[in-house]
Amino acid sequence: MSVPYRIAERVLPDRIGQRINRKKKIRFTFDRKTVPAFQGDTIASALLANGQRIISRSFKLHRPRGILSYGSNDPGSLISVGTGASRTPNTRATMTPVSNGMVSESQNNWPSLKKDWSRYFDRIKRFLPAGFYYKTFMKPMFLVPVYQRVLRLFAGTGTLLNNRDTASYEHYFLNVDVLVIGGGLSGLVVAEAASTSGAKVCLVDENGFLGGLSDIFDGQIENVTCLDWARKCVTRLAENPNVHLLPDTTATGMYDHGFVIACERCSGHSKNNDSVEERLWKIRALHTVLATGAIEQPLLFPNNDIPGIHLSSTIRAMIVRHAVAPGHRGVIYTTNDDGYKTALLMIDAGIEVIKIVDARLHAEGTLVDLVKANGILITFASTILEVITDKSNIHIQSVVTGALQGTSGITTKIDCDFISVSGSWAPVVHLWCNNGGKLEFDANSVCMRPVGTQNCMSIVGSANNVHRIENLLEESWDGGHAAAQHALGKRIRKPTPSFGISKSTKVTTSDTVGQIVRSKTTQEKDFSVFVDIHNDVTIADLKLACREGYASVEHMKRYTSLGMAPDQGKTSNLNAAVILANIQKCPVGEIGTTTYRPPYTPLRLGTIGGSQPEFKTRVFRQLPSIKWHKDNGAVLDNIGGWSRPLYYARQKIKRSIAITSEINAVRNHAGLFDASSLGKIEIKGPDSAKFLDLVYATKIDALPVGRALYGVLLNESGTLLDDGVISRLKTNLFVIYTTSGNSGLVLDHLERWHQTEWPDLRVFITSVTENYAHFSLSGPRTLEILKSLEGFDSNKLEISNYLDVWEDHFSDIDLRVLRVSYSGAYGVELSIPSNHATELWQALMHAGKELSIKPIGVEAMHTLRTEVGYIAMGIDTDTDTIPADVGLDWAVSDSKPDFIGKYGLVQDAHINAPRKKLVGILTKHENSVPEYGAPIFDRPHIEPGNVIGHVTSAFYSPTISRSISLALVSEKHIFEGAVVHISQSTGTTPANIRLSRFITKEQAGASPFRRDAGGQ
Amino acid sequence: MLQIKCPVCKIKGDETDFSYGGEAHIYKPGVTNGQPPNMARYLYIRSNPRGVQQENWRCSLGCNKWFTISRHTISQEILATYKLRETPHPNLSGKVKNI
Repeated sequence: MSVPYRIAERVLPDRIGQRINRKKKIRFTFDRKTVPAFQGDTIASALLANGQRIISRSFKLHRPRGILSYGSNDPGSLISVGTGASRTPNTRATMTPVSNGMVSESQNNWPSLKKDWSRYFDRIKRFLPAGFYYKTFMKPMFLVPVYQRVLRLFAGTGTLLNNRDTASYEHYFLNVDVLVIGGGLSGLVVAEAASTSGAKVCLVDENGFLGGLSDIFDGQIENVTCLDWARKCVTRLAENPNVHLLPDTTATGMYDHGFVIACERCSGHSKNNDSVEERLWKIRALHTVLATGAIEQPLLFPNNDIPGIHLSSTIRAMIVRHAVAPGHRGVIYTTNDDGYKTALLMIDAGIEVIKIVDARLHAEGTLVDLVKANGILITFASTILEVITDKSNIHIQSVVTGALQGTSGITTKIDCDFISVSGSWAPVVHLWCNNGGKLEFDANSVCMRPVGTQNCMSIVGSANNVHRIENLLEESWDGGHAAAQHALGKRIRKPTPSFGISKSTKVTTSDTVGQIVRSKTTQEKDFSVFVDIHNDVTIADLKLACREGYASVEHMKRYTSLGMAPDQGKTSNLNAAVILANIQKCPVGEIGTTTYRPPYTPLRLGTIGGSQPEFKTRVFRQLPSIKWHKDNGAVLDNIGGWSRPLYYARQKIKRSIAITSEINAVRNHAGLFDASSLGKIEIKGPDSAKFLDLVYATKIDALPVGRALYGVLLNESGTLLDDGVISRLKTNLFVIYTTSGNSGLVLDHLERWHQTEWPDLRVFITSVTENYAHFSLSGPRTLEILKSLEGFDSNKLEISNYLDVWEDHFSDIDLRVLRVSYSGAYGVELSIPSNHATELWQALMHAGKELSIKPIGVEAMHTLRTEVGYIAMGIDTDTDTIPADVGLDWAVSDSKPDFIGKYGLVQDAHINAPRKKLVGILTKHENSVPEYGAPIFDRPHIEPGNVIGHVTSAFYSPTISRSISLALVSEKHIFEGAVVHISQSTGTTPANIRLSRFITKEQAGASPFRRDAGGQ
Repeated sequence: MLQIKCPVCKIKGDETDFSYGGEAHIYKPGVTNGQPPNMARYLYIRSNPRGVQQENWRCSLGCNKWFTISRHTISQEILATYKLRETPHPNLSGKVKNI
């Protein structure tokens, strides 16, 4: 197979084809076509070598896109690589090394890249300006989802994988003194200077090869070429134990306090040979030096987006690195000396240079002389007026050039097959700006250059707009030394550069000062001058944005989508700023830039996620007797951070049957509920009562030893934070119980108030949630069961009152017994040290076996408490609920001088504004159970304005054989029997408000003893 | 990501090892002359400066103690870290470069 654009091996073998190994032949496929390549090629260079210029289609107009640039800043070359589960969409062809058997495919076209049907959008581009889709597809509203689905087919980049990403990722952490970002000449010198000064250095670079662009720039340092000099420098650094080199690693974001995120691409490089696809580095550096270099900018002229138009530096990179000629006959359009370097290299490589079109009025120097000596035609003050292509719009046939200014009207048509363009070199300032670094427009070199200083960060080299090599090396050496001094926090004597650079050292290079120019274009031509090549934003779009009032650079970006493409405007933002300034007739400096946000290059979600082991990384807390539950058919769910039984389905019985039988057991016999997840906090110390009185809204001080009470905890604005039982075991020992999901919150709340507001109170706050298992035994048979529990003194229970608390025993283990019940039935709660939990559970189940005891899950417990109208914090309340809304105003003390929330409760919003109150709801249809959170309306029509509340708890109650719900409803709609309408999947269902209890005390199985009349 | 040093247990960690507690030195008001305190001011009004802010943090994965830091809200520089009931540096703003 012939490879038409590969430069022969005999041409300058020591300069051309540096990265490829012609002995190692590789074959991969692009769009099912086999492509021959050499080891060391990128997909982009291999495709260019084979004359495949079109690589993808643009975002909106589906115009053909090729290779503009060589690196991560290329706007057009997104392809998908791999097959099946390991396919990766939106990979840059310019950044992907080839490997044998690799499968790659173009994106955003149908049925094929060349014959993409959507390419006809280009013919009507005049009628598809910026904002077209937003303006056109607005009405009618109900069709908007349809529009979205259809338009989506034409727009966009790659397609997502439908299956789980099989690649593996990991995170690494690194702490260094000095982090150098960028491994070009400047970065290498910084790393060397900093490490020689004694700092621990890490150097990251986006490319697999360190040395940056030293291979494509001529010039000598110490009588060797820049590339050889860089190589020696890399060798020295690699041997230095204080330097950590990270090639193939892109620093994507700079965050506060010297925190840098960098992404290392590991696969495809035999040297790493690890199974990880990408590695995310989280680097914390005491000082960061940005040596990120500069990006060459394209020029603006009609049809400047056709494949075959390459940045000048890209052409040099293709020739020098991969021995690839972009074409046979080239025209060079330049605004600086860079184009001349490219011309000379092309001559050396045997590629015909037809003409240099130089936008400058005049230029002279060694480079110009050399080019002239080769007999190449140069026209100054001229520009490209038109690019003429074949019918497919993919291959350049000729260009029309003419004068840049004036109206001489003399035009020349030149046959050629590729164009080299070179605007200015724009410093890569993204990371500088991530942390708020400032920029300034530099009119001399036409770029935004960094100004000012930043903590823990400096910027050197061409990223700092220093391009002359001798200046750059010196600045970088100083920068590296200063960085080490800053990082180590001491003065260090500046080490002598190992490369002996001084003013007298001969460095040959020339200035690369550029300017942005734009061809004179007519209105007609504005539609084909592309500023953002990926997103198809033309000068006409920018003008439209300005006309319609989106003239600010940030507005323009949102309106036209310029700079929003996957390249984030690396080759378009600067040109856009110049155009905007032109339109608005103001200096470019006043236009400013859009905000630079991380990431610098796109990051995969998998990389951000890191390693995903088979087991879930989020661990749920386990009940102490979880094994028993699992063995006995418990269906577990994660509730409030705990893995808890929802219900027990031992013989694979249906969920609803299981729950019903559990509820019936509590109401008629006995049920045992594992409430070990309840938060348990011990408050110890002489000031415990005083402290609790300050934090709880309920009065606690007077609570006698051996008694408990129900208390509510408010926050300062008076809304409910949590509720629970507070028991006093000793004068100076309280145990407070919190809602399962709130145990951490309450602990932090108490701790915070103790530390910040009342540090003088002598109190210890200790969480004992995990130390005690907590079982709730309830139902009419409770007493009988406990009578046969070994070591338990049931006499104490028999004479006990509701809300009594005492200590008892199970065999010889201490038990804390609490006479409370969350189900409304007669019952006790037993606390036992966790290590004895299963023994007690089994003993209780055994003791109750004859008495039809059943284990109870969370579902049954919630139904039971809803039947008797008990609320669950965070379910029936939200962050706006005050105690009076849910009928808990009795728990708020009037007599206490102060407590958290006392004055918050009397805010206007709580007293004078209409409130939502908790009510019972009975649906008209007894079997229809509303969904949690279902909106409630005052009439049967669903309209946003008619919402008067929402359902908070809803269950089917087997005790009264109908659906019951609790709801928060606006108070003016509340009266006994009021008709409301609850939203459900189809329309609404009617229901009545119920203000009294759902079931009677007898139905609930409350205490048979008269002394317990007040409670259960 | 901020890097914070706890003044109590002296541990240095990322901000994710700590929890944020809002502006510092806001104290619970009491009843004055029989009038309830101005709750709206205490609960909702914060200074939100462009510059140095005193703020409470908790060493939540360490010693669990609350402390106060002086953070510059633009540069994110932490100018001082001190225990509760200690006073901040008298002239922190003077230490900050003009931003």
